Amino acid sequence: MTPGDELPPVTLVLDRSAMLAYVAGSIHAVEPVGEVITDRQRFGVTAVTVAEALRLATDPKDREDLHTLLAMDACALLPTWGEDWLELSYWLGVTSRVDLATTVLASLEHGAQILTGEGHRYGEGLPINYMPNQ
Amino acid sequence: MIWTWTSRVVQRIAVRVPGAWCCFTWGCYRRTLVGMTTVKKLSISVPQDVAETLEQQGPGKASAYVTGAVRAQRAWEQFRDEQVRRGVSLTSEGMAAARARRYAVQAEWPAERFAAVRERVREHMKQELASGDQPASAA
Repeated sequence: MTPGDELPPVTLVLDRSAMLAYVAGSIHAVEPVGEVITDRQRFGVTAVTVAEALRLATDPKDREDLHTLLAMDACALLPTWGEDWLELSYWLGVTSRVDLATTVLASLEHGAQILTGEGHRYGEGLPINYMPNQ
Repeated sequence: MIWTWTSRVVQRIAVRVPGAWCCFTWGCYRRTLVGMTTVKKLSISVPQDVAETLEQQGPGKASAYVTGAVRAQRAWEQFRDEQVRRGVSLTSEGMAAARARRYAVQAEWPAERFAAVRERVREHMKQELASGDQPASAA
C-alpha cells in the first residue's frame, strides 16, 4: 500500500437544501462542512443531488461556488449504484424525490449523517443533522 | 504549518509521499512508481519532537502519517481560503456548535444501525415484490 491509498471517511452527506444553503453563504451549512474538514474527514454529495442543485442555482456566482465546492479535496462525489435499485425505489417512495433518495442511499452506504434543511421529508429513523434556522 | 521551526534540534527523516505535490524544495527526492500511484522519496529536516512522533508510527508508517497530515491541512486551507474569498466568516463558536450537533447524531447512529436499516429495507422490498403489495414503511 502506498502512502496515498487511504482516503478519509465520508461522515456528512449534503442534500439539495444543504448545497443551496452553502452557495447562499448560510453559516448553518458552511460551518458543518468546515467542521468535518477540521476533523480530517470528508463530506459527500451524490451526483443526482449535484445535478438538481445546479438546475436550481441559476446565478452564475452560485454556480461557480458550487463548482468550487465540488472540486475541493474534502468533497466526495458519490455515485448511485445500479444494483441498489430496489432500495432506491423504497427511499423514493419515502421522500418523493429522487435526489433525496440517492442522498439516503449514500448516507447508509457510508455511515454518514445527512445535513439538511428539509429533515421533515425523510420521515423517521434516519441520521438527520438539521441545519438550524432553516 | 505542518513543520514549524520552534527548535534548533532537528533530525533528518526520509518519507515517501504521493508525487502529485512537488512543493518541497529542500532535500533530495527519488521518483518511484508503485502501481498507478507516483510517489517521491523526500529527505526532510524536522524538529526532534516531530521526528519522535514519526518514528513512533512504526516501520513504514511515517509516510502515511505525513501524507495524511499534509492532505488534511491542505483540505482545510482550501476550504478556509474559499470562505474568505466568498466573504463568509467562520466562528469558533459556530464550528463548535456544528461539531456538537454532528457528534450527537453520531452517538445515536453506530455503524450497526446503518447496516440494520439497509437490511430491513431490503427485506421489506423483497417481500413486497414477492407479494405484489403496495410500498409501506420499513425503516
